[in-house]
Amino acid sequence: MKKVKVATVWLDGCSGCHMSLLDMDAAIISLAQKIDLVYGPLVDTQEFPEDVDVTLVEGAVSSQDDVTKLQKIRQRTHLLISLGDCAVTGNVPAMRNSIPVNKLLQRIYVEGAQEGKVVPTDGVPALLKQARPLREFVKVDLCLPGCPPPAKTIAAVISDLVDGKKREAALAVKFG
Amino acid sequence: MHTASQERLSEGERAFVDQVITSRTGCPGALLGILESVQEHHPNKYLPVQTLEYIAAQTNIALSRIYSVVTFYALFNLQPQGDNTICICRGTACHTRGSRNLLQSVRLALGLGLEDASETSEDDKTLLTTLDHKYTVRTVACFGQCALAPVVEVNHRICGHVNERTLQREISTLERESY
Amino acid sequence: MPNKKLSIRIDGELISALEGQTILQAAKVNGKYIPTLCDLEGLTPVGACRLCIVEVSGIDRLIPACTTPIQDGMSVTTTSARLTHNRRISLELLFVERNHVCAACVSNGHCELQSLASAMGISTVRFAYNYPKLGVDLSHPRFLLDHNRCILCTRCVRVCADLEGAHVWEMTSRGIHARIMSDLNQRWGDSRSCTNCGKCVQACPTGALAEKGCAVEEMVKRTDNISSLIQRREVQA
Repeated sequence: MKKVKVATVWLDGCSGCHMSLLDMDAAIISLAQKIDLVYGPLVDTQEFPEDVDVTLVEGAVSSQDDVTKLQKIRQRTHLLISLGDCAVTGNVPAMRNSIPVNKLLQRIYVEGAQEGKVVPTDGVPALLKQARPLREFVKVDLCLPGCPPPAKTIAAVISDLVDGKKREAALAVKFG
Repeated sequence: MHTASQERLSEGERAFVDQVITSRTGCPGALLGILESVQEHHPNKYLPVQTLEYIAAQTNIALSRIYSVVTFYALFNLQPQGDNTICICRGTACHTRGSRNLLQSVRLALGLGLEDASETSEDDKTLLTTLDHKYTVRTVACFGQCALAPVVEVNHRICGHVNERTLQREISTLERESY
Repeated sequence: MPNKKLSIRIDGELISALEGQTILQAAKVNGKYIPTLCDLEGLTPVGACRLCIVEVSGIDRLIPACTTPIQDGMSVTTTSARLTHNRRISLELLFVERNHVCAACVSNGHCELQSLASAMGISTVRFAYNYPKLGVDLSHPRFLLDHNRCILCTRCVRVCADLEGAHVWEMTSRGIHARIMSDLNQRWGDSRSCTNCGKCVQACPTGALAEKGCAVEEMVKRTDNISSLIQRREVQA
């Protein structure tokens, strides 16, 4: 049987959704036999591969770098899933949205710093004015809200996709 | 934010408010009429906090209720108004015909600065009064005179197709009249 | 004189209800569920949230069940594709209007807005988030008001005016600028009419009004206390 190519992506989030993904206990063993994890923080691949079946994206879109990444991912993925509240609603990263970016950086890296009081510019992507959900940039096929989404829900969704099953009952969803 | 004022109304002011309240007691929706009459009576056409407190006490209407009514209707002012009012339309038609520039030039001409209050205020309305209380500059969503865009109202008189030069002339006229 | 008995149909089922009851009251008494947010048993209904909309045969527009009195022979539908569509839109607009960060909210897991979204299977909203800049009033010694979480249901306004009789709260301004405020738009802690009773906090469906010192998920509201208090008052009266 051909294995399903799965990628995971970590944008502006806390990695809690990835923790939840790993938290599915024994289910992960049977799942691992059916999928190929081709890209993500859990594997070494540098370049996002072509023709990925399912990509789970954690985190909000916060920088131009995130936008570029996301657009490339969308082009190379059949099914894009917003994983967790940051990807779905903006959530905690979006709490900065009413503060102008330069004021925000000044407050954190200059006023709030003990030493090296300078706003970093080298090697870090410039922030967008606001952190916003994936859906506002690319077409999203499925949203799994939750902070984080329960491991059981993630496991259920992935195994459904792997087995090519259409889900009958609605998925239990909850923000937060 | 308004802090409770310790100042009391003068006897004359109290008498006027009392009389307005008496004349309207029993009418449904009396509060609106009371507020309108009292504001009109004030030389600076506004409702000071102590007046609102006095009305609340005399009518037994909750302070919050009165404040809610006053802020719901654009007609009521909580700040003293200038002797002259220049009201600039910020509707779509006037906006596309440059009402933002008019607003900015009138603010500069009257020394009101361009410091945008939008970051601190919760409202997108502009309401500014010069320190000498000669002018109040405010914005309105639409006068319904879009064919005349951009529209500016100077002391309740509608001026159509206004540009920076004609607006400046209006201000000069007001300036001359005040001497 | 007892109220006249009227016959109405709810989802096809024949129900007898009392004249003067609203559609929502008649539905509740007969075990029919209609989703609500701004309604709180015992408080004057205002029809603010638009979630209790129902279809009434013969009327084309959707009717709020909480403010519409029943009429003899009325036939009401509480569930349909059209109703679900419109209720979802109302709920989604509530989510995008302010900053509802469930994950960081004291009412996470005990919030009527959040649980209604779950019950309706809302996994995302179709509109762009507004992300407004809103304040938090921490001036009261025991309670806090977080405008980010307020849905303008006015339960606090009504419970304070109708039940406590203090009328501390009201809505100021209008449209997207509408806010809950106390007295003359003062800080809550400076309000002279507030009796510190906390009924507004218990009546609030979200984490907008909360007790101080609660961490995430710790604020559990007792709306049932409010309703039973109103009931006991009515018996005494």
